[in-house]
Amino acid sequence: MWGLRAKSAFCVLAALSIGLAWPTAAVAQADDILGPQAFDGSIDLRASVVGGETGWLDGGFGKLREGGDNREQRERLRVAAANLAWKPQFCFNLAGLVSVIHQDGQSAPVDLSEAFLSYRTGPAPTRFSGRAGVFWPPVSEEHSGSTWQVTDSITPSAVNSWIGEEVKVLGFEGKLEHRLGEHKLALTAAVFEHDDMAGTLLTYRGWALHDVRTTVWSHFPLPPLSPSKAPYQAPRTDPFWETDGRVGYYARVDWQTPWPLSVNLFRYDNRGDRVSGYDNQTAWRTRFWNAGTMASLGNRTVAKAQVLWGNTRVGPDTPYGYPSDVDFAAAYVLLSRELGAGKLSVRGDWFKTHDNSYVASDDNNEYGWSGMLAYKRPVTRFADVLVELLHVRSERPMRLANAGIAPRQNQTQLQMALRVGF
Amino acid sequence: MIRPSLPIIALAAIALPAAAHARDIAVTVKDAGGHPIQDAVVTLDAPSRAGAPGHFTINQQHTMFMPFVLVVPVGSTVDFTNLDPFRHHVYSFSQAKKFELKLFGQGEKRSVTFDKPGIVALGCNIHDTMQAFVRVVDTAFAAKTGKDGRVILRGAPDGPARMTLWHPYLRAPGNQLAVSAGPGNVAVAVEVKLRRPAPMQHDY
Repeated sequence: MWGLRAKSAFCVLAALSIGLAWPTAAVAQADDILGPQAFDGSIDLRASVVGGETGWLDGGFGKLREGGDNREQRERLRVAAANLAWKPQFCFNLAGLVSVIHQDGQSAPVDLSEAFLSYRTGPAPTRFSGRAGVFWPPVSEEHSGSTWQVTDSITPSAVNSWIGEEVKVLGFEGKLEHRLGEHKLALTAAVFEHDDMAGTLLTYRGWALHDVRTTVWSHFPLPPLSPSKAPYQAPRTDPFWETDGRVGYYARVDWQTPWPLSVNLFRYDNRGDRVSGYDNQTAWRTRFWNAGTMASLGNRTVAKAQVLWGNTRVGPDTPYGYPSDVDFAAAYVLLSRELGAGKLSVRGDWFKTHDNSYVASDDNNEYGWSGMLAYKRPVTRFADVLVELLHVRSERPMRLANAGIAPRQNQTQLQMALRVGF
Repeated sequence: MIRPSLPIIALAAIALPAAAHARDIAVTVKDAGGHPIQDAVVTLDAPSRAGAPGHFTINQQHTMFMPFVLVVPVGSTVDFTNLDPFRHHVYSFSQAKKFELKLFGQGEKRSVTFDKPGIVALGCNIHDTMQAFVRVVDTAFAAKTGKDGRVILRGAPDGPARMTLWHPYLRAPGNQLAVSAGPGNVAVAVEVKLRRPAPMQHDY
């Protein structure tokens, strides 16, 4: 719920940030706050062709943003997303970001995506920065910018698709950066609320690959649930809900080496109490690690890789285990090479979930992989065109048990996007 | 904009009384693939008066510093001119010059005098991807390579010469290496390996 308590917490955090920054604040210029440079916007016009099973956003088990129409191939043309971000620079060390998005087919036509104040101390070998508000934790190597869009392709990896759909928080984050010769080290830590439902999609639907990002008031449908679970779980999930009032945390360590290589390690625990609920949605206890790396291979090639693994569970601890208890893991390697003005990207994904409880009546095991080929090229100063071919193969017993389709499914999606921005 | 090393080179030509023995040293810097290396600074290790302090410009345009590397005689002043339609906050915490130019907007200019020789790494507090270097020199014989990877130190004293080649990404201790040249007008070819800068971490 986006309740009064959450709003109050946000206000307190924001006030703390401003208070922290005010002594060094310089008078802002109007242009930095309301001028054209304080706004980013973009529209994503999308054409796609996909066949196979029904997509998860239409209530199926499909792994992609869209699925086939009764297993028939379907073509679509639409405005997939529109993004608008306001990024005022109040003074040299205090800035803000408020972004709203429209996403085709989502429950809220226009919704708040991120809203935070950020503070950073002056330039020095050691410096502190912080932000307070609604934001995504720093996990994804594929998203960037004020509107948190995928940079090299249309569809992010399974790892970062999940971050985008279930791991958004209302929190306070601090970061300490230190230069040690040619090494750069950073330590990030945060406390947060409003991510109690993280794990719901991962358990009942499994991994997916899509570019839909969760918003503050959005909700997503779940695929058909097992008869043993349906009485206890709403057929939807609201990823930004807070139901147990418990504060979670995450931490991250970054090392930028003197070589063209950077590595990072991230730890997350939402400390959900597993029993507090609202409207048939219960707080999940979700913990995970993420290890990421980025490297330059030659002058025009960049490699990115992440591996994420963890556990999510919900319900009381019974002699037979937790009602839902799922280990999950996913990884990808992405290579992007500049070709003239364009960029060619290829990515391989692997993903898996392992169900630790009540498998006979609710089997949430899953295994799959995916391959992607994407090309991005600017067509004008304000527009990029992207073409992406994505294939995913996965095996999930629940498809047969709950939807009557074969556990193993293949799906191929061809997309073309025209991103026009300012 | 860029004021390349022409003033320095010109001063070099009159810097030494031994002009009769002056000669030119041409240095070409390439990588193993034969690609020319731009922005490598070649400095002659020989007694020399410093060039006269000058007035130089580094622009901020398209969220970049231009030029990426600037060579200036010690005591010179550099104007930082913002040509972007948003504000920049230029700084350095290098030993040779620590300074901070808090937010200044389009068309505005801030000046800094570089009064100690050394390497000054520049950054922008608002845009972390912006990076540039000012090489402050106390010799008249210093210049940087152009797009063709070539630089000429004109009017250098004759005889065997030792030089230092520096580039911010040179794969060598201190990002520099020694280069030697024989007497007379000579052309020296140097093959270097550059360290690729780490890909930028995404902003959040």
